[in-house]
Amino acid sequence: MIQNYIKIALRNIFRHRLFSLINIFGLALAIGICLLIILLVKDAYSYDKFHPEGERVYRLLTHADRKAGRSESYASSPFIMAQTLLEQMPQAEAWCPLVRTFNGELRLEGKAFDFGGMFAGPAFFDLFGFELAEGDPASALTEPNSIVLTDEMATRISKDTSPLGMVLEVGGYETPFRVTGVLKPFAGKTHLDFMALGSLSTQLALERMPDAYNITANWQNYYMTYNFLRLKSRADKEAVEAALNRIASAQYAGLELESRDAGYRFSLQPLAKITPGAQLSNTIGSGMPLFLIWFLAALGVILILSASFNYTNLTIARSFQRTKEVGVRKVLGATRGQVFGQFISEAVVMSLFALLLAYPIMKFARYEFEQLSIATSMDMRLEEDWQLYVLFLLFTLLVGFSAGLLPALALSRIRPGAILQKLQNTKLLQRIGLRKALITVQFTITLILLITMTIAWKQSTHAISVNFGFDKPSILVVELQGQPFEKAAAALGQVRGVENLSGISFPMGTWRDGSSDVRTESNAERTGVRDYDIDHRYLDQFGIELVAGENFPDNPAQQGELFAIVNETFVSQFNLGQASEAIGRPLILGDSTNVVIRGVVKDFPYKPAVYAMEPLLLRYNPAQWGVLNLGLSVGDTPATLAALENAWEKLAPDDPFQAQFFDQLVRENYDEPMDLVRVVLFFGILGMVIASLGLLGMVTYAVETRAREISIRKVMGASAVQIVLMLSKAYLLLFCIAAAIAIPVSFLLGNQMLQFFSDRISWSPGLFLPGVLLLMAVAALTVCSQTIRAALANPVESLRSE
Amino acid sequence: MIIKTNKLVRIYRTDEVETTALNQVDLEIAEGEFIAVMGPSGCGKSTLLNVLGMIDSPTGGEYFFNGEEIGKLPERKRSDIRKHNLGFVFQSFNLIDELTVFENIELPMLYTGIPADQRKKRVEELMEGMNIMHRRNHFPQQLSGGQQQRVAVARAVVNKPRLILADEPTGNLDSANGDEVMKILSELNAAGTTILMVTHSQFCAEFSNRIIRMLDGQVVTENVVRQYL
Repeated sequence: MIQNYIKIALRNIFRHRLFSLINIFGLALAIGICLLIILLVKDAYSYDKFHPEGERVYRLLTHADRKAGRSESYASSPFIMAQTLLEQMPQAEAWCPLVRTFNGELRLEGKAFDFGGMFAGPAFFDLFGFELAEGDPASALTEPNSIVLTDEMATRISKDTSPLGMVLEVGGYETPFRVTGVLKPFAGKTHLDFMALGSLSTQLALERMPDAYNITANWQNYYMTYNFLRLKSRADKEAVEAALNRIASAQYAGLELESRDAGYRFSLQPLAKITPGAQLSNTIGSGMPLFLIWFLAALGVILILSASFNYTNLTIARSFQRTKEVGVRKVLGATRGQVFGQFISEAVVMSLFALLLAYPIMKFARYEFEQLSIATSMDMRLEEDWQLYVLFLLFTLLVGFSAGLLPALALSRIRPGAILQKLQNTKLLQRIGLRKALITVQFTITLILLITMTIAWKQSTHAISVNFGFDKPSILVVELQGQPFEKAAAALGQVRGVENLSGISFPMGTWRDGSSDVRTESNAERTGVRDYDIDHRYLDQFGIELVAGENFPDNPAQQGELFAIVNETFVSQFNLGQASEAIGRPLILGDSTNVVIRGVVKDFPYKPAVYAMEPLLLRYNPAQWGVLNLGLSVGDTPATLAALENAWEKLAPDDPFQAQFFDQLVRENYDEPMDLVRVVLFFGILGMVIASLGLLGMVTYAVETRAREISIRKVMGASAVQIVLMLSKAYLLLFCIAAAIAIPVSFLLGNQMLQFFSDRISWSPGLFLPGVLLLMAVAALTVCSQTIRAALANPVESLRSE
Repeated sequence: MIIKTNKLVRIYRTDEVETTALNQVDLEIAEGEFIAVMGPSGCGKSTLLNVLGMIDSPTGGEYFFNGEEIGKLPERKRSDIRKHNLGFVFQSFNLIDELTVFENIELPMLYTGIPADQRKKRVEELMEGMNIMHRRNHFPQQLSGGQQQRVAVARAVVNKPRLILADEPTGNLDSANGDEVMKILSELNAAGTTILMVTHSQFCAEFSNRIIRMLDGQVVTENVVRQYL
């Protein structure tokens, strides 16, 4: 019987080529994209599967409750919190802290190698499934100044001989490190992103030195350590979390917290739920966040629905021809289930054809997706295996089943006596034909995608262009990488083509910044304020306007800080009156730095546009100037850049020249959001293509079935224009209904999206018109391509054929 | 009696119109009879055929097939009786365009679950008998009307039904092909198959042993053409 179904399906596919092509191509587009999504989701769920007893391993999270009322969750937590838990809670069996201060540069025989790493506790090899190719896991991370390398890092450092036992210098550490282990290639993907591990005892030894910053005994430091705990089997996670919060209540009582924080809560996150998982601040490595998976899955479902609608629509439209066949089969003894099976088989065969085309589409889409910065930042190494192919096949079968479900149900319901029943009049709603409803849904979804994409695109480009630095394309931002500012400024400032320069701690307009606790008097409450350390040339170079007071004096040799410059929001938030009244007012920064306000700058967006306007504190501390801004003259920029690179090489031969134009730097903040916009645009266009294919099929069918009517009308005197209008007006009406639904829905979605930005675009018809006009034009072209052909045909042809 | 109806009624209802296609029809057909149903267009001939063929349900009255009241049976049960006992021949042949001659004839046996080797044997036997063997791999649209109707008749008898229902089997055929089909039906009847045929043609009706004339959904006269033995 199945053989018979498949035979009929194949013959139908080849006989009705246009309909088959429309269905197969539409389904292939949608399935291809969904295959990519399946690949991404499978990849996202492949992290950290190789740790033995990994189901008992948890990461300790911190939930910082802000004074402002919000709460922010961190992947990190205080070192001492986990240590105390291990001491007090017998259900916690093992603990491995990872402290993120171990990174920078490894040096061996004059060669330098950048690396990212962490200090890891000795339990590292006990808790995680990483294995050593060389070295002893029991002792590799016990002695101070021990270092364990990944196999990749080991090959970079010493290609031919094993680095085990070698002594490496690490930037920032006086005592060199001995290589005590080389890891095997990881048995699977992991969210732990490192190239080298230092022994935790190194950090503990450093903290014992005078004036050393303490991380491990610091209850307030919840952002430098990732604590991993293994609980005993049958341990009660809730009980451990309750113990954590009991410890927190006891330890934080009376302790001075960060100025923005009201308190902390702690919880345990299972290792398997880290990637993909909830979005947290201060995460270790890369991995697809859960929201992105849902976002992509939702877009994939929309495409699949749209392609399935085409199948449903065209099959139901053609059901008139098929009712005879169904009737005959039923008369000859076929049961409803057998007829249902036949139509489902046809849809499944169609979807399997689509799968053949979908696979290369997936390969292409995958290549394009991997180029996006959102993918590169997530370390996607998408791998294909037989399990994935089984998933692809199952998914395709499911799509075929879903697409064929409605026609199969409807056609199998036909009573054998009612062979000439016209199924295309099946009513979904009281007065709306099913086919019309499906076309309207397709138009609506496509329009929503196109309009929200337009809104997102315009908002993102607005966010980039509104940044104050955008009109300063000629400013080159040079990362000093620890080089003294004055020395670098002297070396690079004299290069031909450099017109002016300035210094700052971090480039504005990016995610990077510093912060200071600020008080206006000693007994006032501290408030955290974003700060930058700038020199006296910065405001002029970037054209930042002072509304009151003066710039910093030209005094780089100044040892103590005397002055601060603030923005207008700072003045109003600290109730300092008018800008001019704020001049001369004292501020206490941190514990004891006393400065006076020397100037007030006009508010300007110094952070990416997702931030609301906040108080800004500009300080003058030459030791903090880590970035050199070089204003280049208009002219031979490549030559200037080459000369600057040469000058840098003389200044710091071991460090690469890291420089970027300011506008490019600002733009990079939006790489990932812009990638999401591109993804939505891509899906919107695919949706449009699929909807247009469906429309093409429907119009072609309508024109075919109305050929006789068209001919009679022409014989009676109808003009070609009248015929085209007659055939097109129904679709125009559907389009108008779709637009009437899509525009308010897009407005609501767009409004939600804009809430993420502090500096928003204003609503205008220009946000809706491009999407509406584009879809309308494509739909009109599709409809007219068929209706004009019908209107211009010689009437006698279809009359004769009748 | 293979068929017995008692005040059989079939009413079609649309939003505004109610049409009584069968109005209190009482009918008895014995096994082995060849009945012709005649009457003007719209008199209810085809409706009677459809109801008796269990591809339409009566609105009222009773219908006994082989002594079993089937009017209220569910579709599944009726489908089961249909596929084992009835064969259909239509005016417009109603062959499936996507299937070859062989596959069209084979189709009813797929639904009765007959094994492939038996199916092949039976289909070939019929194709031989109907003189369409050389067309076995052709599709319906590649055949003449007469050939198509022979395929349809072969399909109707492939499961050896007790009753063949033929709705104007010669209506779309020229006289030579029409004669051929009537000859085949007569032979089947002679072999013991009961035949109920709707026709407009007096010539075709002469092949039967009883003619039922209908008007406005009612049986008005029954003429015995020749005594059924």
